[in-house]
Amino acid sequence: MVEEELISKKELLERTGISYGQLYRWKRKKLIPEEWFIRKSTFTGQETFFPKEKILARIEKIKQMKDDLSLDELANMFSPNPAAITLHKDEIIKRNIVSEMSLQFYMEQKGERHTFSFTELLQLYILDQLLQTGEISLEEGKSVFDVFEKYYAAFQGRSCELLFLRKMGVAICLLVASGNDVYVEEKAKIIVRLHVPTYVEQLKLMMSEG
Amino acid sequence: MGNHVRHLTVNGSALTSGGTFHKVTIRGDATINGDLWCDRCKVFGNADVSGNIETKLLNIFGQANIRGNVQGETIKLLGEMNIRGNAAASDFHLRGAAHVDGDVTGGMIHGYGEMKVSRDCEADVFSVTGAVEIGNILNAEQVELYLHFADSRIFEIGGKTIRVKRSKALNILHFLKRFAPDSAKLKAEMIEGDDIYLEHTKAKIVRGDRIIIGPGCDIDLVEYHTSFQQDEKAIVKEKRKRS
Repeated sequence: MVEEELISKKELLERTGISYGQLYRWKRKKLIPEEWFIRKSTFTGQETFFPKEKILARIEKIKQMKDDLSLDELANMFSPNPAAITLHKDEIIKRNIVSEMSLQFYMEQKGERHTFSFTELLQLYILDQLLQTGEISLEEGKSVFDVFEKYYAAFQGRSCELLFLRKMGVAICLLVASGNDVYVEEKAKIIVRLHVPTYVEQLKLMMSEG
Repeated sequence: MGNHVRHLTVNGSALTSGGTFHKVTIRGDATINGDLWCDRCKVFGNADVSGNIETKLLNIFGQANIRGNVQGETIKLLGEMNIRGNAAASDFHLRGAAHVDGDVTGGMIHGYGEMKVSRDCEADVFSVTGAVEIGNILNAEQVELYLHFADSRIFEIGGKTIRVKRSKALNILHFLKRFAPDSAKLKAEMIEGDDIYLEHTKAKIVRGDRIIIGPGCDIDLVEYHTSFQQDEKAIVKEKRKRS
């Protein structure tokens, strides 16, 4: 796995034009997760670094939205905790959150239903994204539902990643705590590695826009 | 919680178990085994709680030892409090000594005395006169620290406005005890903020927009953006302007 590119705090402030006060306030309000603050020793002493892509995208988003939403609302949106919202089937299709095919597939598996909770919607949304990129087949998608249903709650709001391995045509779906190194044997391949909170965020954004 | 009519009152000495109450009043000495949920908790004397406390108002006149976490809207402390877990309150009023092994989160933390936090301390306003020790980071919109009596040690301070001064009360005391050695300093690794004013502070790095380094400071490196001022009785080994 390639190591993430880091950006120092100083550079970050210069590039984004925010102040120390703002950065610390956003950290305090949990708009920027604790685990992004990476301490490293440099020749000038301790320095704080951030994962470059993630932090730049996050700050851009906060800057865009902070005029419309309060900090607490923003924090709610970025938190990995599932939002307490349910959506109706028609609404999901209408807002184009997931494709009709994925929705149909979900209901074939789990039975007919009209409203979807956030966690259900999250599974659906992730599956839909995976299917659209063509990385996994519909049949393999079932395991996404299973693993989510059983184990997503165990993370209790901590961030996690969804991994999809395939060896000789057999696929395995895993849910792991994020930030861990994963190594697989040579014949197996990591087909998908996605950061669940990113999707939580996207989904919340789509839901709040509607 | 309001409809629980049960109260817990201890006069004298007692050992009891926790639970859900409306008001908890301890006059004397109480040992409570388990968690405590209540609207109001007042301790006049001594209380040992083996679990967590969740209450709207926590008043302590005397001493309290809490093994778990404390969560309250208002915590008023006159005396001493030891918390093994975390403490969270929107208003934390300090008159005495508070020792917390975990994190402290609050809206407003203010008062006099000693405050020791082993990990992080986060608040909107942190205004304390006395001695403060924080093991990791003090993160507050507004930090006001008036150094008094003993040395303060904070690993890292981050916020918008940061002011560290020696308390005026000490100056009067100092006048009386002229030969007493200079005490009450702050030691920090890093201080970062928009507006920073420091006195009697020894720090490795100070970074910010507008920085004033007052008397008695010893700073290894200052990085400023808009303005920088230095007292003649301060030592700054290196300063850089950030464009």
